[in-house]
Amino acid sequence: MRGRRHLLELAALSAPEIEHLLDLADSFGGITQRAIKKVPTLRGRTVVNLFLEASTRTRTSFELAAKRLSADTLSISGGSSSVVKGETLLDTARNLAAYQPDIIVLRHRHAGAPHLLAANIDASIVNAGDGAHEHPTQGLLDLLTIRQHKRRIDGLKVAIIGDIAHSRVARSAIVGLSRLGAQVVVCGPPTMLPPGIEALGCTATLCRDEAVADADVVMMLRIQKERLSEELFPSDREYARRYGLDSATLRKAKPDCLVMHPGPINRGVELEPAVADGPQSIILDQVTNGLSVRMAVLYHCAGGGEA
Amino acid sequence: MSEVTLITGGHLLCPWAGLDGPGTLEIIDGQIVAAHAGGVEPGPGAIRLDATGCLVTPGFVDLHVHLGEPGFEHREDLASAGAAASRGGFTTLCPGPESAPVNDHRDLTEALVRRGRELSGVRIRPVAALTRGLRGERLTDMFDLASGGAVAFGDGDRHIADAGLLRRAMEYSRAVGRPLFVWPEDATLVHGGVMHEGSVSTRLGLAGIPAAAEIAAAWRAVVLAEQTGAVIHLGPISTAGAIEALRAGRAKGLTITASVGGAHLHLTDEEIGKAYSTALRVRPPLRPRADVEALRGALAEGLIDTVTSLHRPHSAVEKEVEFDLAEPGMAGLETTLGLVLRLVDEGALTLRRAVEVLTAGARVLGLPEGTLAPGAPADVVVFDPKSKVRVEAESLRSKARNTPFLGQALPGRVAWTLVGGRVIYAAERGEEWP
Amino acid sequence: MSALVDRRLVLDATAMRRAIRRLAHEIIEKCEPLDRLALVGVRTRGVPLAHRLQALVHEVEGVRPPVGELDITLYRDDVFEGLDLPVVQPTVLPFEVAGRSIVLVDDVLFTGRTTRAALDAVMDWGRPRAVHLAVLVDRGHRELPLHADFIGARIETQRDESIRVQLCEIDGVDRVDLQGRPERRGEDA
Repeated sequence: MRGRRHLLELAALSAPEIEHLLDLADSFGGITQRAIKKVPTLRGRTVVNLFLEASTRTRTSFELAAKRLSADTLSISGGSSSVVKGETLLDTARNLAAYQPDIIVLRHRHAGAPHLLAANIDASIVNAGDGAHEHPTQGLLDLLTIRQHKRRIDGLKVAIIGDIAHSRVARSAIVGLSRLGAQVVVCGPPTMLPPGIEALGCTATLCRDEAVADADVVMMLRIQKERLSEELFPSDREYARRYGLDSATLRKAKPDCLVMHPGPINRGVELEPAVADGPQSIILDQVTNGLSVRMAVLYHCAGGGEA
Repeated sequence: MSEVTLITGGHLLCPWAGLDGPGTLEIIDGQIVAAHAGGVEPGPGAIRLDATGCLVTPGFVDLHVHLGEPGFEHREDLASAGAAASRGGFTTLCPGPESAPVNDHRDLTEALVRRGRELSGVRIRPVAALTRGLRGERLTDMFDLASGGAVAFGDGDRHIADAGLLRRAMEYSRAVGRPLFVWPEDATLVHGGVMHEGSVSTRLGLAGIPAAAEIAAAWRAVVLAEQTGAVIHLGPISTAGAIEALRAGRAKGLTITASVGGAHLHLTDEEIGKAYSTALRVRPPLRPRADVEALRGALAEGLIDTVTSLHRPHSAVEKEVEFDLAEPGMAGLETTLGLVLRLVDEGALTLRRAVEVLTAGARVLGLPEGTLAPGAPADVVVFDPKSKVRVEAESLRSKARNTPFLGQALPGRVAWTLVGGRVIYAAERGEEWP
Repeated sequence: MSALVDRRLVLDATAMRRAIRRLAHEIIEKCEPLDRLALVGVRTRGVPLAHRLQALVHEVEGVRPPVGELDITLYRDDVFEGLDLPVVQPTVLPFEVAGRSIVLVDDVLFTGRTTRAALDAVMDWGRPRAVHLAVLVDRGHRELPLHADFIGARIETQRDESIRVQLCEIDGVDRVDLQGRPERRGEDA
C-alpha cells in the first residue's frame, strides 16, 4: 500500500539490497558504544510489536532497537491479544492500524501472515518470523556476524545442520548466504530435509561429516520439539550422535571455522556444551548484532512511506 | 396447448447425439424433439431464440459442487448457486454430502432435489453420504437414499480410512446400481498439509501434501474396484500418478470414470508463491506444471471423462486469513466454461471434446439429460465461444468471491440457459456485453 | 542565455589556504588549554578540514589535538524527506567527549540545521566543556539562532544559489564556487 517498505522475506531482496542493510547495521552497531545509546531518528513514530507466538529474544531485540531509535513502541504478545478470543489476525491488525503505526513487526506461527498484513494494512510490515517460512532479521544478523568475522561472505562454505524442514531460520540463512555468493550445504535426517530445498540455493546431504568437511561456518539449528507434531527422529541420543556437533566433528572443518546457533540451545542435543562455549562459537555476537540489524531494518522501513 | 421453443441460427454441437453443424433445435413441452439441419418456420405462439454466432449444446453437468445449503447459507444458497450455475452454463449440479446436517438421510435428499429445482432453477442431483455422518464407520441406507434421488454415494472429500469398509461399500453399491465416488486423498499422508509438497511449499514454509496422498488412495480404489466389480468414480484427481492408476484400471476393463477441476488444468503450485493468496488454497492442491500437462493429456485422450467446477463458495471470513487457516476451495461455477474454452484456445482440446467433458457427467451417472438427442429433457445452453467475459466481483452471481481469476477475461459468453425447455438465464445486454 | 549553471569562483586554492590558516590561529587563541581541544569534522567535507586544522595547530603549537568524524544522518530533521534514504556512515570520536573543548568543523554554514543535528550528536557521546563551530564559508540565511565562532570567509548569496566546496582530499582540487540555478535565472529574466 502506498509504496510502503516492508521486510517480508530475504527471498525478495537482491544482493545489493542485502548488502545495503548489512552496511546500515554496521553503522548502527556504533551507537551501542556511546554514552547515550539512543538517536532521535524515529522520534514521533510508532512501532507496534505484534508477537502472536512466544518469543523473548526477538521481541526484546526489536523493542530495544525501536527505543534506541526513539520510536514509540507498543508491544502486544500472544497471551494479551484478542487473537486468543477468536478475533482474526486481520481484525487485530486493523484495530492497531487505527492508531496509525508506521511499522508493525509481526511474529506469527503461520507462514505468509506478514504478506496478508502487507496487502491489507497501511503500515510497513516487518516479518519477525512467520511459521516455517522466513525470519529475515535473523538471516541478516547471521550474515552480519559472519561478515564481521570473515570479512566476506562470497566463497565461504557454510553448513546448516538440523531440522531444515521446520526452520524459518534456515530458509532465511540459505537465501541470504547463497545470494551473497556462499556455498551452502544443508544437512539433517531425511525426515527433516524438505523436498526441493536445493531450489533455495544450496546442496543437501544426509552425512554430517560431509557437510562439516572444510566448512568456514557451521550453523546448528535448534530442534524444536514443541513444534514437531510427528515422529521425525527416534531419540535425542540418536540425533545427538548422528547430527549433533561435537569437538571431534568440528575438527573436520577449517581450523578457524565459526560455530553459530540461533538459540536457545538444547545443550547436549544439537551442540556439545564444549563447542557451544568454545572459542569458535560466535553465538553471543549473534545476539549483539541482532540489535543493530533490527535498528537498520526499522530505519530502512520507516523511510519508505514518504516517497 | 403445447409449448414450442425453437433455437435457430446456431451451430448445434452434441457429441452424444452426433450433432455438429448449423441447424435448428426444436423443443416441445420441455423435451428435445428434433434437430433440423435447416430452418424451421415457427408456428403461432412458438418462442424463437436467435443463436446466430453461438454454439447450441447440452447444458453442463457438474459432479462436485457445494451449494452452501443447508448449513452454510452465508457462503451460498440454492438460489445464488442456481444463478451462478445458469450463468456458467450448468444445468445439473451434484452437491456433495458435506452439508450441515450431512446428507445421509432420505428426507434431506428429497428436500434438496425438490427445493433445489424450485429455488435454483437447475436440476439438483445429490451425491449422498456413503457412511453415516461421514464418520467412515457405518454405511448409510443406500437403497433408501437412491429412491429419494441420490445419484451416487461418497463421503465427499473425507478419506475412508478403513479399507475393509470401502470394500464392503463397493460390493453393496453394485446392488444399489449407483456409482461410488472416491475422493482420492489419504488423510494420513496429508497430515496437516495445505498445498502440494515440493520446492514451492518448501520455499514458502507451508506444510505439503505429497502427491503420494492422492496416488496411494487412487491405487487402493482401483484395486478394490477390481476386487469387487463396483462402478466407481475417481475424482477429482490432480496428479500424473493418479492418471496411471486410472489407466491401469481401465486397461483391466473396470468401470472407472474420473473428473478433474477446471482450475487444476491451468494453475500450478507456483502461483501460491507470489503472495500466499488464499484463493489458491484448494483441494486437491494445485500441482506442478508436469501434472497439469498430464491432466490435460488425459482429458484430451478420454481417460478423464469430465471437468468439474469443484465449486466451493466461501465468504471473506473464511478466506481473509492466514493461508494455513483458510478454508480450502474456490468458487467455480462461473469460470469453468471459460477455463475449458481456454484449453481449446490453447490447442489442448477440440471444441467437440470441450463440450463432451462439460456434459459427460450425465453419462457417468446414467442421467437422461446432457444430450440433444430427441426425447431428452431440453437442458440446453447457447453460448458464444469466442466472446470473452471478464470475471468481476460485482458481476458474479454466486455469493462467493473466492476465485483467483478475478480480473481475467475468460472466453465463452452464455446467451441462454434452458432447463426442461424453460429459459432460466438470459444474458442481458449491458450486463453481459462489456 | 546559457542553460549552464552560472558558476562564479569565490575562493581559489590560495585564498582557501589562507582562510584555513586564519581559522587555525583563531582556534589556538580561543581554545586554551590546547590539550583539552578536539576537532570534530562533520561528514563529508568537514573531516578533511578538521585534519588540515589539526596539522596547522601542530605546526604552530606543537600539540596535535585529536580529530573525530561525525555522521549526523540519524539526527537530521529531514532524514525521511528525500526520495532516497541517506546512507548512515560511522561516527568515530576516538577520545572522551566529556570535559573536552570541542570545535565542530564544517565546510559551509547555511540554515544551521546541520549544526543543530551535529550538536545533538556530540552531546549523545558525553558532556563537553564547550562546543565551538568553525566553518570555511558562512553564506548566511540562517533558519535557527546559531552562529559560527570561526569563519574562513563570509560570502553574500541569494537563498536559491548554492555554494560548492571542493577539497583536494575528496575532489582533487581546492576551490569554492557560487552557483545559481539556471531555471531560476530564466524566471528572473
